[in-house]
Formats: sequence, C-alpha cells, structure tokens
Amino acid sequence: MHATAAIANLARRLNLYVASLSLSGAPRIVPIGDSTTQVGPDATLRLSLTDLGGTAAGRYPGVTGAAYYVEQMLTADLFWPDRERGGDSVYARMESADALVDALARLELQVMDYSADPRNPTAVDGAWYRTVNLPSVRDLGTVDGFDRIQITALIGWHMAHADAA
Amino acid sequence: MPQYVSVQLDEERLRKRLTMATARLLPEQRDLVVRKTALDVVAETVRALNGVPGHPKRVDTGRYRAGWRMAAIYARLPGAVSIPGVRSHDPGNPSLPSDGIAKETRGRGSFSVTLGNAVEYATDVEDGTSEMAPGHHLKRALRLAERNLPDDTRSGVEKALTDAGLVGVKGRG
Repeated sequence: MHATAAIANLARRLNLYVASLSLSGAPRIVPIGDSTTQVGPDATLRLSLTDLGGTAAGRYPGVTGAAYYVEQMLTADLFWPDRERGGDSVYARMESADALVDALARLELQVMDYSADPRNPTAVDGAWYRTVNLPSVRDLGTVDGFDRIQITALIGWHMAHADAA
Repeated sequence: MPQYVSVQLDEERLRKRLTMATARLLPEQRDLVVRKTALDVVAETVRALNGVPGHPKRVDTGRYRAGWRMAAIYARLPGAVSIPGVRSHDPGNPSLPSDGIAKETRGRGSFSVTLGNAVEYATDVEDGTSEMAPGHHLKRALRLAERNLPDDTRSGVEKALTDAGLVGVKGRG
C-alpha cells in the first residue's frame, strides 16, 4: 500500500501536529483513533476524522497506480469544565480555539510513512496534507457540565493506489 | 490570527454553489435541480447513518433516520417514497409525525427547499456529546452534494440534469 493511502499515517501525522501546539489551558488530548469515550474531568481536546470520499485525479507522479483527490473532515472538540465544575477561565477555551483555528487554517504537512518504523517515519516525496477551507468554529454551549467549542477543518490530499499485478 | 467566529459554513457554501449551478436554468429545471440536491443530501445522510467506511452505523431505534425520510416525503422530493416500516415503532422511542420538517420557499426568481429533523437528540447524533464522537452525517452529505454540483457552465448543468434523469437535454438549441 502506498503511504498516501494509509489513513493510519494521516491520523498519526495530525495527532502529532496537534500535540505539538501550545494551547491555552493545556487540554488533555484524546487522539484520533482513541476509543476513549469519556472526556474530562479537566479540559479535554478530542480529535476525530470523518471520511468524505474522493474523486479520480489521474495518475500519481512516480507511482504506478491511480490517484484520487480525497478529503477527511478533522473535528477538534474542546471541552472545558464549566463554572460549576470548577472551570476558572472564561477566555482560555476561546484562546485555545483561536490557536487551533490558526494552526489548522495554515496546515500543510508532508505525508510521512510510519508503517516500517513509527519512531523514524520516512517523508513521502511530493505528497502533502493541506487544509482546503477556513476551519469552521461553533460554540455549542454547555453540555454535560462542559463548555464546548467544536472546530472542523477539511483536509485534502492526493491518494495513490498501486495497479493490480 | 483569524477572528473567533461561531458560524457553520456548510449550508451556506452549498447554497451558493446551487445558486451558481442553476442560474441559467428555466424555473422548472431549477426547481428539479434543487429538489434533487435536497434528496441527495437526505440520501447520503441516511446512508452514513446506516454505516459506510469511516462511519460506524449509528442506528438504534431508527427514529432519527426516519425523521430525515419523513422530511423528504413531506417535501415531495423526487424519489422519496413512503416505505412501510421506515418509522420507529420502538415503544420507548416511537417516531412522531413532527420528526420530519419540510418547507418550500418561492420568491421572485428563487426557490429553496428546507429540510429539518426535529428529533430531540438530533444534534447529539450529528455533533456528538461528551461521551460520543460526532457523527457528522449531515455535514458529510452537504460536502458531497457541494462537490457533485456542476460548475456554472452549460455543459455542467446539462450533465447534472442528464445524470439525475430529470430532464432530457438532447436537441436543446
């Protein structure tokens, strides 16, 4: 399988990218693929992906195989304990959301192949994950004792599939 | 840094694309494209709820899913038919006639179809909760519909009409 076709590579890349950001309040991150369902008790950032399919896009340079332009929706859910749960910052979650939007709006990450050695991934020449829209931000109000902000961003890239032998 | 905003762009983007794609059509053709697009959004939402790659099945009693089908039927969308058993008959969570919402708005040179789902936990299924990741079935469907809309070109519009099986375009002058 070509490295661009592995969603696991995308998930790892995005998880590491978000983990590298300095976010106000330092929320605990529930990464893409983590089956943890319960957020909190402290500030939590939950990441998830939604598959949006793709369209045929010819051949992939340097690879014998078909290319598709594909998109995934990255959702970053910020949960902040509300006042009754001891939340003490009105602005921390907004600042955290601002930083996330800023980081996602200019997202341009080279595809990395983690399959052989996750600790020493190899860069895939000419392949990039990019944001294709200005991330959308919604304040979902207080839910289950948490003030919640949801940020969604569309990530697009070209995926290669090797020809059948 | 972008300003902090609270806005959902999916619907607005689709609306703009739809306006562009139908700008040169006769009113009857425009209405058909709008209805077809609305049906596509409902169909893709239901398909994702039933489970597609990347979207685990999110159906328990089926009431939320049925709400979308009811909305499509209320709006008299082409291809939306009442299927026996489509509604939830779970005694703890039965379908209500008010679960589906449909509204048509016709103005001077404009036509819109608004569909809604009034099931009380609809936003929980779509946006998730503190214990459940978002499903984003509707957002996915809006994005796919937007992507499938043709550009504002004669050939694009003709292709859309032909693909949809709504209008025969052969021989148009």
